[in-house]
Amino acid sequence: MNIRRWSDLLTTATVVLSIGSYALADRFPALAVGAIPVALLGWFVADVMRLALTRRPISDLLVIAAIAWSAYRVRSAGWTQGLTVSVFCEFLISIILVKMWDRKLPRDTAQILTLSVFLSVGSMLTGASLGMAILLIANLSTLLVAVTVFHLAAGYEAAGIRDDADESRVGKGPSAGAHFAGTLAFSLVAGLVLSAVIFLVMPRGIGLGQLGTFGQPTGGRVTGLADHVDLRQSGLISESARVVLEARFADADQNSLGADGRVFYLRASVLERYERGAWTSSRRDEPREENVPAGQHFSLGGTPGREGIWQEIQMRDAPASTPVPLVYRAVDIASSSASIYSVRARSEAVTRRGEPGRFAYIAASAPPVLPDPESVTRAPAESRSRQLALRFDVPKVAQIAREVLKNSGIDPDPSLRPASADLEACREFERYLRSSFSYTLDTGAGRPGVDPIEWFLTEGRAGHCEYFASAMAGMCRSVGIGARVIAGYAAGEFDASRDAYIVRESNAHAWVEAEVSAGVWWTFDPTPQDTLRARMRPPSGLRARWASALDRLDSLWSTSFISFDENSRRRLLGFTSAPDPWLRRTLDNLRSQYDEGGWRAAAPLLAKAGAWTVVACVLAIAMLRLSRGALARLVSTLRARTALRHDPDLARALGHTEFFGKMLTLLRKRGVAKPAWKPPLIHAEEIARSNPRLAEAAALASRLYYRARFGRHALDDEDIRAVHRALDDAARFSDAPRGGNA
Amino acid sequence: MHLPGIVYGLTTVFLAVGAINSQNNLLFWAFGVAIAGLLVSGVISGASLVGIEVERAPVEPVIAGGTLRVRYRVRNRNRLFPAFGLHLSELPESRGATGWRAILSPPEAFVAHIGPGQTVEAEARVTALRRGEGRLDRLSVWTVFPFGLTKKSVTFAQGRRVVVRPVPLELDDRVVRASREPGLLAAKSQRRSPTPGEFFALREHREGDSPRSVAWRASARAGALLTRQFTSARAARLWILLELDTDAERGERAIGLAAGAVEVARARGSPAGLIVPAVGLRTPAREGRGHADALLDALAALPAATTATALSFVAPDPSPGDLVVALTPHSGPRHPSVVEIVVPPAPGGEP
Repeated sequence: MNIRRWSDLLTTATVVLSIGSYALADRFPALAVGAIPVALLGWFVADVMRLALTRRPISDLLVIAAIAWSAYRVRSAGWTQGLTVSVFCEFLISIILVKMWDRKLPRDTAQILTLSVFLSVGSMLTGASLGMAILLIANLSTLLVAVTVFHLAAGYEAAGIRDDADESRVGKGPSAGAHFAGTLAFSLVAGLVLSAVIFLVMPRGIGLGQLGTFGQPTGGRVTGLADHVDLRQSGLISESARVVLEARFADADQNSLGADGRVFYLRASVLERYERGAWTSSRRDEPREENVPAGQHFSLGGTPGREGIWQEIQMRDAPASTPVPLVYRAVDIASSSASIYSVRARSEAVTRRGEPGRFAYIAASAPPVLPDPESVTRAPAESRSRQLALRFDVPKVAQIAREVLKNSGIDPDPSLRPASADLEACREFERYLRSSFSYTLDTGAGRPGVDPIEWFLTEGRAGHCEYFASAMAGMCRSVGIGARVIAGYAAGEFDASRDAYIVRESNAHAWVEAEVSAGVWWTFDPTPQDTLRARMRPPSGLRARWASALDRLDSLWSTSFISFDENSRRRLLGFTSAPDPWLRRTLDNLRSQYDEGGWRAAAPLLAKAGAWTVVACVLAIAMLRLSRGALARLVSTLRARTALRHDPDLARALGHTEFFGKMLTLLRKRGVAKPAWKPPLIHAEEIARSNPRLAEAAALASRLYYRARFGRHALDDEDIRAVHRALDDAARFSDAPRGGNA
Repeated sequence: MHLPGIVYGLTTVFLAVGAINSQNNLLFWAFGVAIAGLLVSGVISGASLVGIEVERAPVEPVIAGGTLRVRYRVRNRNRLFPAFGLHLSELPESRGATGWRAILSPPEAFVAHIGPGQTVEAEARVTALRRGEGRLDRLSVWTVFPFGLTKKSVTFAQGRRVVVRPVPLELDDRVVRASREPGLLAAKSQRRSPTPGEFFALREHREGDSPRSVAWRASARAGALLTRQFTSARAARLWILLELDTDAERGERAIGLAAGAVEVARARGSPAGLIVPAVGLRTPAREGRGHADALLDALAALPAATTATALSFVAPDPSPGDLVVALTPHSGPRHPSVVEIVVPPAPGGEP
């Protein structure tokens, strides 16, 4: 098989892998099933059979049709909504398929390879699963080989070699295969090492969403159990079935409470502060710390009472610092290992620091008790807790909340609505969200400049649990009901044989606690329950075991690569205390100024940052230009010294050849500098007409230098004196250039 | 950096912007791969060319429209790195040198692989576009291997003359007929080693006379060079008189006819000489393949048109049996031994 056939084959492999990885990323297997055979058939017809079934005008018509179809799709979905990565990638695939059938020139192959690269980038924007990543890595390796072979095949074409008989005209030495494999291996290894270094060096957390959102959620985080919820950031909801913990629940008499279909909400983080689309813990909720030895009880205050729940939990792979998942408000904790607990006074969320790894604890929790309707009151308006729990200012969300309550016959105005109606209002919001919105994992980061909750309620209308919880909390706050978002696990997978709940990474969940009476925080889950139960269904059978093995890999991929963020980077590189980079601060400021006042407000900072960037670029370019000549000279000197060190004869012969440098300087001063690529004797011939004396001296110097350098003859004193005399005469009598300083 | 490299650079910038905007780690990695690709490409391209030496073999003349072969001998002095995908291209002539681009399509040869310390040969085949003489002056060896992102090149200064000879045109019947007359050109029976005829006389040696015809003893006695004259057809020569004017197309045709005349002389094994008064060219009349090639090379180098005043032509002492073919734009009084061929002007050209 000649090199052109190899090039065609590798290009086809690249195309197949690109389409496959995109289909996997977009969860669109029909695309792979349809497009890959068409591509393979195109390769077979155009490259193997060498049949020209398509003509260029037909190809052009097909390309125009693909453009028109894509434009129609975008137009019909609206220009802003329709211009998605998937539309663009499907357009790319259609062009690739047309080209596969009409491959006549090397340029066509180059275009196919380029489009495949763009398609791979589209895959990265669309998905982030491990399977897709493996396909992408395979694709990258194939692409590397395909591009390399293509450039060799293109060389044959450029030299006009059309058939095998002409190949004798191409220079080709022995052991080409081995050398080629070695070069490829070097490229791969060096490329991977360099890319890993660049991956680590690039700072994270800078510039997120500055230019809006493109593509599907593949952001740099895995939405699982987290101590914050950032709706502005596109993310990947973890679907990993990796077991995080096992839990047993019992009542005051130690009777098991576990049952199929019963869900326990293990609250881990309490998020009270909402600011520009992100929920975080309140900074003013000061934690209380307690160092508790192994086996000792740590009392958080209060008693569980008859309604209390006893829980025995084993976390499988707890990090050194982790929120402690607990049902309701814990009153007592005891763990198998020494721990430092910190408990937040208001939210009563518990965090543990200690040895990482397996962490087992038992705890007693007190569920909230709803008072009689007559004794329901609201917390005092002036209390800091209530002020914080009500802080929310998104008019559109408030408008929707009021409409929902009005439609249910509940007065949205808290001053007119009785406190006892707050619980019903919350239930109304819960019902509204469960019934009017759909659950999806494929959620973008909304629209820049629009509050993510507003975007979810008005435009997106589909999202994952964080959107549902955020929306309900926002709606509650908008009508005067204190509410907060809780991040934790929803334990619903009950293993009756062990009387334990299995909690997986995919069970990470967000829900709402609303203050339905002063100090009584009631749990609500506005996420559609059928979807939630489906996510809690345990995998079973052989497929499940296989899936479990893959799942571990996927989990590793997600936690170590996809969720690699600035903190991970700093930890890895060992500069955890480094200050925020200037760029991050600038971009954050830019974003906040833009959010507050649009481009007009951001313009001065943008201009300042732009000016600094231009100055930095100019300086960098100037330094590069200045250092280029110096670097070249340095390399040349080093090479010369190395050569001389290994060759004493040569060193002796070149001992007194400084006249050559003198000649070059003289030529430069006379305005006839010798180009680096031109042999000195030829240069001397060329300047002979305009400056015969100088040419004669240059020729003499060159000949003597050649004799020393290549003939390895040590020059005698007379020769050296003669050449210096000739150069001096030339310097004295030859014409200086007009305006020159010689 | 060439065009694909610039496109690649822009794509890399977009990748960086996309990665920063989305904080997508896959895009960060893709950006790393893009930068790594650029660096690796630059290093391999550069290493490929370190230690490459190229020597261009002498180029055989070719007739216009034919295929010219330019052969290169490439050596890799590098002891570690093999080189792949080396393109060998001829660069445009340097200032003041005679160009080749008017007479040749650009020669391009390719070396797919050359290992450390190996030597390979490559050949470029190009079409000779038109008659002329040029000089392949500088040779560039470049490569975009492995990824086509960076283009590295080295230049070698090596002069080689390239000659594209005129296409010989068929001559007037009169010339062919005249060449067949007994006693004239056709009288020669042997081409390579003609038997000398009878001695006729001695005369003063003139420029262009063969050194073999010098009578050395007589010259020594006389104190001046003397040339022997023979009576046989050995002296029958074909003189080609080429008169050019300002009509380039007509000049090209005349040069083609002259080439045809040279080929007739070569076929007959007759001595031939060329006289072009407009450029002051006058070659001796000699026989042999080498001389015929020299005449064709001289014709290749001639300008097709000239404004120079034609020098008066004096027949070079035509011997009995010599044939003079005058290729001229204008008819005029001629010596009886001259076969005049008036080359008509090109349609639409000067009358």
